[in-house]
Amino acid sequence: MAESGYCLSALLSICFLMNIICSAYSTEFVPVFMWESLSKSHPIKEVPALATVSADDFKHILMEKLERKPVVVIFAEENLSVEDFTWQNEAGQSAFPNLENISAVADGLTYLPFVHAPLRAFHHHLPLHQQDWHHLKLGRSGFSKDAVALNETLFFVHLDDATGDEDRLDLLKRHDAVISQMFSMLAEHHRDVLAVYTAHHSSWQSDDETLTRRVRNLLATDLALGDRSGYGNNDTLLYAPTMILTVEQEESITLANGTVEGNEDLVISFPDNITVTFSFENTDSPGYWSLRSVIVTVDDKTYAIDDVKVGAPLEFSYHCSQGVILDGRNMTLNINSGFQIQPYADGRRFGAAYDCVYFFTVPIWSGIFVCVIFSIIMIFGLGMIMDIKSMDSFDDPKGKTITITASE
Amino acid sequence: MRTKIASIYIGFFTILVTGIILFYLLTGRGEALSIAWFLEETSPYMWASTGIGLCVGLSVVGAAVGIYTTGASIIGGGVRAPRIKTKNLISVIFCEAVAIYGLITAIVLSGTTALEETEVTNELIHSRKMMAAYVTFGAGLCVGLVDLFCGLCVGSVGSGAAISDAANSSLFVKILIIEIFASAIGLFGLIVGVYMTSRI
Repeated sequence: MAESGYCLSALLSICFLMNIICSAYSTEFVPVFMWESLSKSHPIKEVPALATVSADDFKHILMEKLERKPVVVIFAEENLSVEDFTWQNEAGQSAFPNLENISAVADGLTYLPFVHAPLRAFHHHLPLHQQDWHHLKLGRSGFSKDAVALNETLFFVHLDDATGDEDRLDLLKRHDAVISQMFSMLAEHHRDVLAVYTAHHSSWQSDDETLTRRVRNLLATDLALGDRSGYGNNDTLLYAPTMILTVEQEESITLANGTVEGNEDLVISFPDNITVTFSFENTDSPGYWSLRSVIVTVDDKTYAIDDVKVGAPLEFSYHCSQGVILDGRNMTLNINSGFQIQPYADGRRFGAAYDCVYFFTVPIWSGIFVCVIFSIIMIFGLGMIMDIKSMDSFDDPKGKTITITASE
Repeated sequence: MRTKIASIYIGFFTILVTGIILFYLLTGRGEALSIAWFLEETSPYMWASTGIGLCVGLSVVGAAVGIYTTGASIIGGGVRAPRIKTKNLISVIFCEAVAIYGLITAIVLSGTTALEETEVTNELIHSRKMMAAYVTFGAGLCVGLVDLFCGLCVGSVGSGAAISDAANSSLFVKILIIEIFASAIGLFGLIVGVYMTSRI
């Protein structure tokens, strides 16, 4: 009995050890995104034929790219994965707005989503004779131009400056800005630059929640850095991603880069001498605010829209994800996608939103009303049917069954 | 069994409605649940059509239950006293009349309902349409419910008449008077419905 116990425990410990050893050798795949400023035959966009690329295959690929001895700059994240590249927020923007446009300035894109230990391949091929890696570490505020010694030919940028409280999205966007900035700087200086964006480890295990979900976020989210579509003065908050103004059958002007003034009313001044004023009142119905009028001044000409039906109770904001089109005589102001406004707001956050499209619309309510009537009738009928009792006073399970002979 | 189904149904609706109302109330949006908004925004055609449907539907239900009650009694009593068969068919005719009231009202109401432009362009016309729709709904509901209970009543009385006639044939004529009074109720409903409709 004791022997079998020893055998069992030995077996278990061996299995445990094997598990640990195997997981230590488990292969981790990291995406690699490479682009060059000059390419042999352009434009090349290499689509990988295999799902995963082993370290040796990657060494071969790299050898081809390094034939012309370009200036190599490697941007190495701590963690990266395919999910980071494919992540999109509500508005369809990805986490790498600059990298998306890189094909405009670069030739020869190579994207390999699953490569085993890519950095090892780089260290295997490089540095060539007389060269040395020039390491750059990112500080909180990016890097200054002086820190980048432009005469070096091998750059290794460590993008490992994540802080504990920073959102991964913001981190990636920041790195994206740094990458594009540095690449454009080097591309100006050198003719042939190979840029590589990869990581030490895959981020899929530590990645969780919202990066792969496209979910409508019901709670208020903070504006992203550099998002200029929010306007606010002391009292009023407005979020309008795109505002398009059409005056008197002329061309449509997209309003951007406005500065906010005004105390009670929200006055936004745009370049080209255009001001838009939103004026509110809360005397119509007590407890509610309403947008009374929108006045647009273009070069001393004033246009007003007076019958705007935007309103909500105090402490609540008005939100519309369809386009809001404000029509006046000779003037149309079109606000696309994601319009949210709240006057008399305390603080910098919107209150809960009253949407322009209700949750239960009128047709839904009508349908519910009629279906409730039908269901009452059905339940009534169901109750009656279940109440039918068949006559079983003369039933005798042990007696003779009745036979009816059919006569001619 | 009947009560179990009914109590499950009512309980479910009560919990659902209570939950929804409490959510809106406790998040400060109580005024978002607005019956006035529902009555103003719903289509008048829905109300009119529902009224017409309920009119004929409910009256026919009343007539059907009445005929069921009376018919069963006549057939049962006719086994022992076959003489009651012909005379007692008059109860069935009274029940049928109730269904005819509902049918006529429904046809009259349908005649006043016509599909026009559904966009709200003129407030005056829209308010007239809503008035007409509510009147149609009300008249249909009125006639339907009145004829429902009238049919139930006439059926019960007719059933009693058949059985007592089988026992003692001199009773029938007296009981017929009761049935006439029961039938008059249905007529009240018809009059009110037609009077409401004349205002459209």
